[in-house]
Amino acid sequence: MSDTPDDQLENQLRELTTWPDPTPNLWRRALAAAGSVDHEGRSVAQGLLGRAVPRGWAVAAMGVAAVFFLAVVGNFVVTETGTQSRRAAREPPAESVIPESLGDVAGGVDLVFEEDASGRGGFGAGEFGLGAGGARRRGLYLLSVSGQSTPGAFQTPVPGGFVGPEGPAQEPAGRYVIRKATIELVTEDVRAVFLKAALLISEAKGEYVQDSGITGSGEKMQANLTLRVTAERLPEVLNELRQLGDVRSEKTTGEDVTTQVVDLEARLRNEQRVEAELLQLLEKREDSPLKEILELRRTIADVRQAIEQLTAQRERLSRLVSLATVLVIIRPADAPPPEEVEPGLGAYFLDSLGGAWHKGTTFLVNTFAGLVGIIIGGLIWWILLIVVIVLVRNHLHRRTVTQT
Amino acid sequence: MKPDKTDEQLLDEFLAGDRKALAELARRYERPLLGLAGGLLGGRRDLACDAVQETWLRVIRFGRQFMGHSSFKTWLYRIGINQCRSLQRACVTLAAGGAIEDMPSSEIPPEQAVQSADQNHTLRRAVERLGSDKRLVVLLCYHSGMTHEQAADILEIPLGTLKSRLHAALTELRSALSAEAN
Repeated sequence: MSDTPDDQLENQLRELTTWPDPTPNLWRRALAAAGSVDHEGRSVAQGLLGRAVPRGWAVAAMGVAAVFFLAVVGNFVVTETGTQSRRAAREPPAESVIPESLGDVAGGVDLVFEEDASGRGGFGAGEFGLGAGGARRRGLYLLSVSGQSTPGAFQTPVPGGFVGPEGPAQEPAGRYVIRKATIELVTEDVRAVFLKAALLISEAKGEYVQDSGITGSGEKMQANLTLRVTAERLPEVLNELRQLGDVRSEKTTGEDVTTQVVDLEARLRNEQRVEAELLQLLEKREDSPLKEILELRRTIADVRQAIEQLTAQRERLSRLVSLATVLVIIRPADAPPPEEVEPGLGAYFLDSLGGAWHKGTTFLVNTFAGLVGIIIGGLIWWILLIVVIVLVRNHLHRRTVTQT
Repeated sequence: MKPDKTDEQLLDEFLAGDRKALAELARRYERPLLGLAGGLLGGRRDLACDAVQETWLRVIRFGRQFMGHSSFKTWLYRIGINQCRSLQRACVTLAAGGAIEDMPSSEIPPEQAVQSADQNHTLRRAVERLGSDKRLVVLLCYHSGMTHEQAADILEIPLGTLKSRLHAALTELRSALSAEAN
């Protein structure tokens, strides 16, 4: 039976893809080449050992490497956390010593005035402590005051000067603080509360209504009252004001003017001393030429003018310290609260963008710092690991080549 | 010999460190691969050997990446065909650069030169004149023991496409051979 042309064609095509000779065992050459040439396509364990590795061994090796890595990182994290905890224990965060309002001030500023035998005064070792957390810092405050001190200069009562250590306006620790409070009340009867608030002052103690007024009518009625009350009575007055209506908002601020007070006192004492010296000089030189006497009197007049200015400043500061300012705002109960302008979408977007940028950069910096810490902190272990890997690999590679 | 084991099992055993498994795989596929490579590379046996050796090398290196989505045979043939293509491109580049003047004749041994006059040589030249897709289809479909389904799987084309290409290739071959005979 003879083949058709198609059968012949198919047979010839089959012959084209037939290998007539014995196989040259190319797989052996490939195996030898694979054993001597590294390639990134191999698995980690295979690349490390230079030959095919049982899968179980590879998994075990990877597990050991992972445990090693976790141990190094864990060691670093624990070390860093411990260090930060100890650091935090040694140094309380700065926020704890910065009071946000006067109510947070647990301590005070102590200024101890010392006077030596020669009459030179100075503020010696003092201390101040801030923060409700009990964290205290000690420091040395040395404010030298040359010249003679005037006894009782710090005990000038209201309204003639500063209230002394026993006086009401001075803080227990010797600070001079100007206190201001703002309280917003909501009540059914604005006028009645306005009158009651005005009656809270004690004229016998020098308190007074500095400013008062009622504006608007009906729902838009608003009464404003500025009370000057003694500093020691401020909490009491505020408590009584709170009972007059519903408190919508309340704010208290304090300005420490101790430095200004000390400076004023020093300058005043100095000018008084100069005045005394000039007066003594004038008495001794009564027979001097008229021109000199007039010059001397003019100088004395200048000094007295300075003394008066300083005295006026001291009295003004004294009033501010001794009398706290209370601003009372009274609104009817159904009055709408002042509308707060809602930020627009653009402002919200910009705020969000700014926040995201800040968070992102902070995270990036923290991440980078963490990576640097891991690299540097575990440097010894990394070097050790690399050396071990290289040694094992070289050893196994030599053995594989020898076997091949 | 491990005749009862599948190709995939043998590959796993080799990857676990058993070299005999690779020897068994080579016993099954090295000779067919050499035949196909020879057909694809214009009868150049040296190039065919290079292609098959590179194929085994890739099996050794990338065996762990074989996920079993196709059969081992399909995967192996795809590697082999890709190696042949790479070698063809390299030879074309070298020939264009003047390094190889006449690629087939330079390596044809005397006994093969004698055969150049027979029909086999005529057919080989006709096959080489086919387009690369048709040439690959026709050689793969008439490769020993290869079904059309397997060929379509290796070439990653639908079975219908394979058959249409095969029909077109055979028609072209017949006309070429007729013209040669006349």
